[in-house]
Amino acid sequence: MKIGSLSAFALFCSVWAATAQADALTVSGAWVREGPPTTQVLAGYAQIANPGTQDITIVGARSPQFDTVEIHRTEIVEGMARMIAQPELVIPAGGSVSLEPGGLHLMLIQAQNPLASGDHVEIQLQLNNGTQLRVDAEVRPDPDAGAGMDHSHHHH
Amino acid sequence: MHNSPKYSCDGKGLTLWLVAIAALIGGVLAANQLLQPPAAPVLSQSTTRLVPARVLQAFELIDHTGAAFNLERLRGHWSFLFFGYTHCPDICPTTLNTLNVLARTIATLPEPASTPQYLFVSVDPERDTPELLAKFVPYFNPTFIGVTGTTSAIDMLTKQLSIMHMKIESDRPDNYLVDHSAALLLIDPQGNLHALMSPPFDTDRMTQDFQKLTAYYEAIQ
Ligand SMILES: [Cu+2]
Repeated sequence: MKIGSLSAFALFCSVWAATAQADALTVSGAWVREGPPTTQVLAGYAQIANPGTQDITIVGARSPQFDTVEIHRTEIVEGMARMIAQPELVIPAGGSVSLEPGGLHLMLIQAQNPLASGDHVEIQLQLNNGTQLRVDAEVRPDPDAGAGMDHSHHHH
Repeated sequence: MHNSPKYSCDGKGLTLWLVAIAALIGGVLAANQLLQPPAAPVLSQSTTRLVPARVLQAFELIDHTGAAFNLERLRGHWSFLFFGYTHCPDICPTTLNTLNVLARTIATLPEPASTPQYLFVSVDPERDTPELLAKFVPYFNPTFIGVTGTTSAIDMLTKQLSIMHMKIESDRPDNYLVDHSAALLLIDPQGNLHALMSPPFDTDRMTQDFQKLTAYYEAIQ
């Protein structure tokens, strides 16, 4: 698959590349938060836009690098933080949905190999129109970790 | 000084009066300060100070190096406590990164005496061994301390702190989730639960609240 015309945008985001097939979803800013080297469970984030005229529903997700991928939403209800699996995620026509820390995320469960900053995770989103959207997410530290917190020495 | 000799006598008299009045006002203010405790700190909405601070009962836990972690280790300094588990990829790393920013901000404050310790207490002691915590907690900040223990010992602490946690069983026994309180707790140097901070976390606001709480605590000791 070619990144093609998306490459200019990919330059800006530097962390993602997505190939759309017959669907109308576009994924931008996809990333997976780097975890401590032994972490088996990671979270992936992205903005998913639907420039089309019909709602598109994500009905599943998987990755060749993880046993299981689930769509979760973190909610804080009456002081309790909980993650709730979302069997499907509707991306409304003309709208977009943001997967971000503390909210919706792709729950990447049981990594087959340890992942560190700079690695890439391939995530396949299954859509209700029968197609698949392949997302490439780069592993990187949380932006909140901020300057002066150099994680690179953790995995070299 | 600039008065001509003609007015020096009047000027001197006025100065004496002013000094006397100033001394009187100063004395009254000083007496007031001695007699009245300083005003309680005005905190942001997300920070709640417990009045009185909650006295904690003894507990026996273990830190990520394998050393005993008990009430004694909460004394002599301020401590921030966050509860979570290492198999939590979203809210726990997000909060630990926020705590790292908070720790770096607080470290720049002019009063090194109030440098707190930062503790991540597991609500999933089944999976969170000291070894696993040792690989997880210091990743976010090398000074952070992971704490775990037996399920009953963890409950002993969380109940006293009104921290809730609930294991959510799943079809994959090794892959369950744990719902848990999202608040950040602040323990004072006497080892008492002093305040709690609720999300969403704003590290600037939290730093200001921490400064006010510690300054007030020092002032009333
Ligand atoms: Cu999740």
